[in-house]
Amino acid sequence: MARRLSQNQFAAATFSGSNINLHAHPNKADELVLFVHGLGGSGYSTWGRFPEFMFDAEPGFDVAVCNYRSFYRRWRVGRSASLSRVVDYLADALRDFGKEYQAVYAIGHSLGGILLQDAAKRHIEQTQALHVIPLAALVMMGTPSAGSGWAFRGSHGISRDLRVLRRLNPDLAAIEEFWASPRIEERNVFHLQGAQVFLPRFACSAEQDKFVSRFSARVGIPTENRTQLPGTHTSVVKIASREDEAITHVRRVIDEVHEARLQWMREEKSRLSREPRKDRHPIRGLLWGAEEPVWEAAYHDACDKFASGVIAATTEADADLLINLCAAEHALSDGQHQEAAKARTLRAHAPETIPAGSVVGTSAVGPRSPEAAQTIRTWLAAAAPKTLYVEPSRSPSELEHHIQSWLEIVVRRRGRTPSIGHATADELMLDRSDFGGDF
Amino acid sequence: MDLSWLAAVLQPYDIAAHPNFGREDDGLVARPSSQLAAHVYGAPGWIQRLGRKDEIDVDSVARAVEKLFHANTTAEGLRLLQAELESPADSDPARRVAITLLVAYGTAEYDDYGASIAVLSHEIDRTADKTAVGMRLLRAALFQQRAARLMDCGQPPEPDVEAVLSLLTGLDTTDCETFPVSAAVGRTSSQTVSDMRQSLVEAAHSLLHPDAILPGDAGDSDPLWIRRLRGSRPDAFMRSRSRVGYELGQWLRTTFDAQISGRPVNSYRGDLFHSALHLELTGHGDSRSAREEMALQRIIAAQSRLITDDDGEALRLLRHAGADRRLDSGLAWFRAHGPISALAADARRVVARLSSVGQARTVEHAVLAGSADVLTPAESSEALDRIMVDGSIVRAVSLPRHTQAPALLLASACDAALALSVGAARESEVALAVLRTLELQQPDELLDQHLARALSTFRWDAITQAARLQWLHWYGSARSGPWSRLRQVVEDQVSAEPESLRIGADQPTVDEVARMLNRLIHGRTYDAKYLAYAVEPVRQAMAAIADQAKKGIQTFGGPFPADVAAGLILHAGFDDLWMSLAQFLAETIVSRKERTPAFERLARYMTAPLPAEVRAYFAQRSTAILEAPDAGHWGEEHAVPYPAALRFLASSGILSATEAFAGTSRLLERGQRTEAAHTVAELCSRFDWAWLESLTVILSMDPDPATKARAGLGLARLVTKRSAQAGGVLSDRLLSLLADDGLLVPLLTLRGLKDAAEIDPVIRPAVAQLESDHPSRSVRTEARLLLASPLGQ
Repeated sequence: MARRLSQNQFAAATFSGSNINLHAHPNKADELVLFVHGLGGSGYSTWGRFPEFMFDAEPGFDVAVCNYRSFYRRWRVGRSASLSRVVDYLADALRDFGKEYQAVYAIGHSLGGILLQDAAKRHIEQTQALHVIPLAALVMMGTPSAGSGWAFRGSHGISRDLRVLRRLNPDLAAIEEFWASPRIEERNVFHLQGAQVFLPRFACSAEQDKFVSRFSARVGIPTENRTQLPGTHTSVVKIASREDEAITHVRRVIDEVHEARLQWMREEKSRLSREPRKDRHPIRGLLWGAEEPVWEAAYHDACDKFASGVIAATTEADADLLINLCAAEHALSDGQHQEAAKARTLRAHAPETIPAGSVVGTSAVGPRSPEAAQTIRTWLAAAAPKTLYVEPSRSPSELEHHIQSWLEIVVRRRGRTPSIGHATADELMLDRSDFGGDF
Repeated sequence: MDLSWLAAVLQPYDIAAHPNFGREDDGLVARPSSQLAAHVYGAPGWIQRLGRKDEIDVDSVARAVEKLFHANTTAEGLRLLQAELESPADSDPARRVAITLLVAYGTAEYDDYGASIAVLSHEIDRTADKTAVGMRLLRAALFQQRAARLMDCGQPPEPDVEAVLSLLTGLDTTDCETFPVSAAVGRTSSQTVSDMRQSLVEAAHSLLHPDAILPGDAGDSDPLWIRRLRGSRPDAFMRSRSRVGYELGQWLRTTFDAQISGRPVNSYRGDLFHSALHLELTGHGDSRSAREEMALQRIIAAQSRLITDDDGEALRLLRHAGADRRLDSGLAWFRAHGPISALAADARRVVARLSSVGQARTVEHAVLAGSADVLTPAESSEALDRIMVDGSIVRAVSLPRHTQAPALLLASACDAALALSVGAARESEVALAVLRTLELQQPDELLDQHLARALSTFRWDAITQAARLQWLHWYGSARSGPWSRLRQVVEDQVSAEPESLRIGADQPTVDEVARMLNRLIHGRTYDAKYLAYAVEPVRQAMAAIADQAKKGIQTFGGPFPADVAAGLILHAGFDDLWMSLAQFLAETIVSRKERTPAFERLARYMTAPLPAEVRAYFAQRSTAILEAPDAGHWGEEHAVPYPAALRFLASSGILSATEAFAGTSRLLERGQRTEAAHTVAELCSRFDWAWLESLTVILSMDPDPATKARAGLGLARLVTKRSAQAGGVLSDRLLSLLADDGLLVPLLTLRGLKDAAEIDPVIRPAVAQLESDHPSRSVRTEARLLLASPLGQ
């Protein structure tokens, strides 16, 4: 958990028992900037006055600063968290911050950028999020996404943390593979295809970086999201002035991403507020007992040809029309098949099965369907004394005809909906007899 | 090699299990290629036969294609198919080719022509064996698909088409391996293969120029179009065309039910997707017209409210069809009706897929220009980077089989750049890029006209002084000679002293007077003496038009002398023009086109009462003016009473409230709802008649956005006259109009509120919400300006 520090003015604090210090304005800002340092760095010292300037910006951000021990800082303590543990708590932090902030912009320096990308990957996989998520953008500064020549083979003898930075190592490949997948839209263009997440990635390389090559600092990042800034690997993020190019760049990135997200929300709002379609209640249909595809096809053809539109009901409880088919051979047989058909037919016509006002139509299907329909009527004589729709269908076209008649009955029943307040103009027009005949 | 895979995409009807042949086709249901065919053919009965997934092992390709064809899962389906291609190489080559054709189609749908062509090229390289009959057929299908995709992105298809014809010429398909076909087709697989060959030849011919004379046709010197006219078409092509007829019939019935019968219709039937798909997968040139038909169907369905959200698909289809004029209409329609997200969706698709400079065609430019209002600054900027290189504008790529003037290719790019410059806040850079481009061009009258029109509405006030000076420098060096219209625009917009507008030996033209008047209206420096000097020429121009009209000769084009005369009276105070203007406007022999702009200007801007003799003159002739039909040759304005005159006569008090009501009602009776709404909107700014309120509220519910927007303007003007308490119904309607999707209705409604003394406290939060939440920059800006104005404080 992050340690919350409510502050009017930014002030660094110790990380007592926590890996993240959350510097929050007394009235809490809507957006947060998260800083994750790199190999051998530490919470505040890596960034100079960068966090402070973001906290004081107009409008101000809340700022979270992450701290973890790595490389030589790990040597000083007996036990410290492995990098995979750091990724875990960063992923948890992203989840928690997402509940509190409208947008979280995460900035990682060097190794911090790799940890951030891994944490974001885990966060997205865990949340199964879609489109716009609170994690708004990742800004990698001097991050060796393709590894660094300094982390040579065998260097993990110096520190196991260097393994993550080795060239062509599988961890980096796995991270890159995730970001290269079509599931992520990482450009700052809100062009989403299907189940995608909008999470732009930006990379800044330092002009005089001796540890991370320009290629490694930019690989995989969309061309338009790459920038080069003056400075060395460390000085590029150690900010002393508000006019520093890195500050300007990060502010511009945040503004652009903010605007893209805002526009998406505007469009979503506009889409959701579009006047709902009036007078367009499709009929919800359900088919039972279609044992031959040809009968099922007839059902779908009938639905397809019906002007009001028929959609599939999820269950019988929300069906406007339940079609129950009985194979004539089964209805006329003795034994298990007949029992099953009878039980299903009785259930279909039971008053509690479908909502009041809905229609149940049973059809015996097959060459002997007229006899079978008689048999079915005897099953139902006691159970459903009122309206009964039991018809024989010798051919698919006969079945189609019956289904269309039943669909028509559904529409006409709707037309007689007693409350004018609920019935729509179109529905009322369907049955003019309600108004006393033609006029 | 199992050629049924190729049949699954090119000839699906032949191998899919037919719903009416239950037992005979049972064996096909489990065949993977038949399952794919069922989805490609796409009729419900065919797909239903695959519905029993618990009993049938549905092949992964069929499953992927099912997703590919569903709007919400297209990307996933495409990914699954791409993964199939990456599976071990020992799979059936015909299966690979079928998947490749589907992937090429899917990626092209996403505008990713590079990927589409790459996957085809890769597979062409793999199918290197050119001797086996089956392999030649597969290669021909791949070449044909690549030819079609090359043509889609503006590259010549001829080399690939020649490869197709060379592969298929003399190809004997009788010895191909057989495969099961549906009992519904009543023939053998050999005939299916032969049909596929024919389909590919037909598709190849469709991509060639109609006048082409193909080599190797002994004794046949007829151009291709005659041969195609006389020849028979392949079975699959004819089946696809007949299906289009069937689907359009279904569509007609649905539309009739929705619009005439009044029956509740939930979804439209008669979708043309699968018939168009056949053309796409065969690589047929008619696929472009099929895309256009699908797009038009979608827009009409949206207008009939048969579908709610289009997500930009109709615009994409129009763009992919290269249907530039209908695309313009489609863009205008979406701007007016919404959903605005449809505009944004296609524009973003364009931005995302234009991976390098110089790939855009005029249709892409049109989408960018038409949607610039809803793109974010970063998106606008990125789009600009694809249109400009080294500080100048890059012309569009030609549309396939379109003859587009080079000037228009450049003009469309300039339009898009100028429109995008506002959102990207790069106006100066774009202004200079246009200038640099201009300097590299040979003078061209078409480009001159186009750029003059585009730059006359450009935000010159947003450009830097340095950029302004560079334009002035160009103006100085190009003072005489070509680019005459453009020079006028630059002189009007940038130059402090218009050199061409000086009193000289020649009389000023009406056009020049209009330019000087515009300077006055827009608060720039102007020459009052010049305007005084211009009164007589304007009077003479009106007299000349009236004389010509009496001889049966009508003039064309603007600017209109009567409108300029009205401007001189209203904005420069030359009241001695009144009588000449009144006489001209009362001449019913003069076409309405000449008189309407003046009537509209007077109705809108007249603040002082009419001089008594002018009023009496109009009063005496009002019936004749209103009732006379249009004397113009084309009769464009046929409404009676004459709407613009009605607005003027009612606004000036010559017509009473009752007469104005009767006139507006007659417009409604004749179905002129937008004109009626326009009339009430004008009258609402001057009068508080009781009938105005009722009629405006009714018209504000009109389904047509143009009518609704005009009524919204009127309603806003009416609300500004009432106290907040009195305007309950009006305020409710106004709030609803402000929340309307599309641009037109909220924009005009906001403009109506500008006339208010203060913003109604009930309305203010809605305006504030528009300022922050509306997807259109124009609407947000309009709302911001309203709130920032003194009445918003």
